[in-house]
Amino acid sequence: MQGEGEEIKFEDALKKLEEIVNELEVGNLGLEETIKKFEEGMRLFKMCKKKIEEAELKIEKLMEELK
Amino acid sequence: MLKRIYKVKEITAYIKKLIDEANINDVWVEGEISNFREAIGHYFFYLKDEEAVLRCVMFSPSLSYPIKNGMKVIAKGDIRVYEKKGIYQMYVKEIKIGGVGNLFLKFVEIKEKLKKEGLFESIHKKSIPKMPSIVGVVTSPNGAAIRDIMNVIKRRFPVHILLAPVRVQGEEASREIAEAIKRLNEDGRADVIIVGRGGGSWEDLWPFNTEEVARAIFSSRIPVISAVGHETDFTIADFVADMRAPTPSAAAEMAVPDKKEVEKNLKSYILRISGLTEAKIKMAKEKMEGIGRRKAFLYPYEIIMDKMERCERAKEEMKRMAKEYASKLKHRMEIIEEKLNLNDPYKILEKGYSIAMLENGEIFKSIEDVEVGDELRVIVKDGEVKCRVKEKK
Repeated sequence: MQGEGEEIKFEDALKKLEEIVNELEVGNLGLEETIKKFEEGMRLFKMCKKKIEEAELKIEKLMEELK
Repeated sequence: MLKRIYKVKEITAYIKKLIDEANINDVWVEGEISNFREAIGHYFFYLKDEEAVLRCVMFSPSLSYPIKNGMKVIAKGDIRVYEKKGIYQMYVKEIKIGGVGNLFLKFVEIKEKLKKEGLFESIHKKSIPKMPSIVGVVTSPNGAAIRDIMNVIKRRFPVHILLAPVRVQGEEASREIAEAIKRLNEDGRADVIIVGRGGGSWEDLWPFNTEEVARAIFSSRIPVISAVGHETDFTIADFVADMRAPTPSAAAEMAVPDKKEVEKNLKSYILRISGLTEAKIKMAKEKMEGIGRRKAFLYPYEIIMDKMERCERAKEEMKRMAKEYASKLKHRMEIIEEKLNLNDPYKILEKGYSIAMLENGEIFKSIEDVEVGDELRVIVKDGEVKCRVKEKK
């Protein structure tokens, strides 16, 4: 990963999202906690989306380097 | 089968079908050449050992060495029935002799050795990450393999490719491949490594059959996908790798997920999360409304009025108690005052007594306390009289 050392890996983010879905589905979280989980989920979702969008650029650069 | 009389054609077709269905294709057979014959550019011969013979045909062979009776060879081909002659035979595609035959034996030897050591066992197989951030690739920088891998990764899910360029055939290849795997592990950034090359002859693929490469793959902390040659090529690297891909393109497909699929999953997760959160909020709201319907929220005045009334009563009570206390205090003061009045020394002056004292105000009780000539003060009801002592008796 380029820079952004503290950011978690895409695969871990996906796993976390799955966990959040499970936790919410069990449903014994309080309202505050639910909202906290929701916000975390949103953050992870945006991060993953951003990574998917950014991914295109990385390969372009690499392909140029290889030529 | 039905009990009836068959034509030769029919029964032969049946046998042919059975053998075709057995799918004896691309098999390697080891034996000695005998009855070798060349006709109209094709080879006809038998492969034999002590126990049996196998009829072989090789069409338009392009071998760089001459075939002779008595040669020990390994031949690769498909087993088919030749109906016209009522025989089965091997349609040979490849023949390896001498050094190549030795290579094959070496392959078997290495494979057995490593198998015995447990290098191929499934407990050692690491799982391939679903979504790598960086894909390491060990292959030639100019080969078809890297181009195929890049194309697939670009199409499916563009990620960072970390290419460790190596030679994939020749003397040095084996050492370079093993070192590249180690280097990628030292670097540590790759989440998965593809090791491979495009198709080639048995000799070309040889570096992927060496113990050196096998051990490097086995020791890799990072999961390894092997991708050597075509579907039908099996190398030792394939046995020891965490996953075998039939081709470099297939390896790339295993290494990265389909972007659309990932996006779909991501969307379904977030929809699920928002839905569940919304439901929770709705539930909390309903609960709040339930509380709102209770007396405290519907008739708050009643509760306040009740409390105020109680306050008022308490206030009255306190007032009453304060009054009572004050009157009691007053009464006690009166008694004290009366007592004080009774004991007032000046009261006796009213009755016609007087008090005599020395000039400095001291009361005297004996004639010893005064001298003739002293001035005395005598206090009466309405003032004082100054006197002089004339005599003491």
